[in-house]
Amino acid sequence: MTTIPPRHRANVLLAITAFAALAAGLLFAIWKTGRQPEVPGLLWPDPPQITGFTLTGDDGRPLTESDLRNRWTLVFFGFTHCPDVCPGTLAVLKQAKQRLDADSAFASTGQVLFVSVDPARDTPEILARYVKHFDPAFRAATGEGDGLSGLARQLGVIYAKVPGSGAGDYSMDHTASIFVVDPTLRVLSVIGLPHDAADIATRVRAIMAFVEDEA
Amino acid sequence: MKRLGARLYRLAALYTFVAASAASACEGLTVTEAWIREPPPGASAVAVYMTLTNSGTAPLVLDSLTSPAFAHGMLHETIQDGTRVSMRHVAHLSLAPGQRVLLAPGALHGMLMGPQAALPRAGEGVDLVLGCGGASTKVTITVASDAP
Ligand SMILES: [Cu+2]
Repeated sequence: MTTIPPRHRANVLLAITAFAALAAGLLFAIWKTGRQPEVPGLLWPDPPQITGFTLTGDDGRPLTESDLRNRWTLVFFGFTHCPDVCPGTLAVLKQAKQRLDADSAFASTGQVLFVSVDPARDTPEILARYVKHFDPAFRAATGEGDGLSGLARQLGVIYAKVPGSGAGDYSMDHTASIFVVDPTLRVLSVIGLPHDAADIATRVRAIMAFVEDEA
Repeated sequence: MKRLGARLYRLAALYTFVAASAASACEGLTVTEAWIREPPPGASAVAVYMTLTNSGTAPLVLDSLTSPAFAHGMLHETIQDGTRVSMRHVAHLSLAPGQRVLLAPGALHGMLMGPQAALPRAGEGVDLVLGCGGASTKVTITVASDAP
């Protein structure tokens, strides 16, 4: 074994360290530009963008796209006369929010918005009582005509009135996906049924980390 | 006269049989893991979830699901067509001997509509009557604040 004088030994070590750091940096740059998002279901690189919309919030005041700006929002469409899917998903969203609040920025920047596709029966007062049963922080909104259909169209949400068994009785068929909207109103993921709290929390956490990384 | 007597006897026997079967439980039907999610304020209907098992040796056909606490009740199914979610009435539910059917969120479920009094709260019980060809089984379902 050849011996290297101590002075040269330090220089060699420095050179190796410098090279390693350079290589790591280069590899990271290649990895970052060329990587595929490892978030399942992430709508990337061209996520749909929410533009303007005007609904009526559960406090009776207008709820617009500005209520979504600078916040992470989980949007879910339904109606209060829906007995199976809507209460089920709202209960799951409550649990998902608890998980996210515990260990992410969702606690300060996140919100859950329930949009009713049944404005004829779901008044702001009814909506407020309904969503706050699940979580006092949940928000709700609905709208007549263009207000509702405008947002629905941007998200690809469909809904239709279906006659029920009794006179004047009806139900609503609707899209039951959860839309993950980022602070710049990009729709980054659409989570379909069945809904699971742990799965939603994991996905939202990953999406938030991805966006933070991109910035 | 003898013939009329025999006929009357047969009629009486038949009547007794029908009366007895109306009061009897669905043969072999067992209900487990039953629960109702505590309905939010303003709910006009609640869904009932449970596991139905035919523990008997004969096929079983469930044809009604009602509750004295609600105006109407029926078997329902949540179905998804693309992203469109809807519910439809299920008239009959057949269970072969040994068969088990799950009534679960987002799938097959019991549907109770038109609450007759205040909506049930978590911890309370809701009486449910499952009908099968004239016989019926009564069970009390516990209302839970969340899925068990
Ligand atoms: Cu139903």
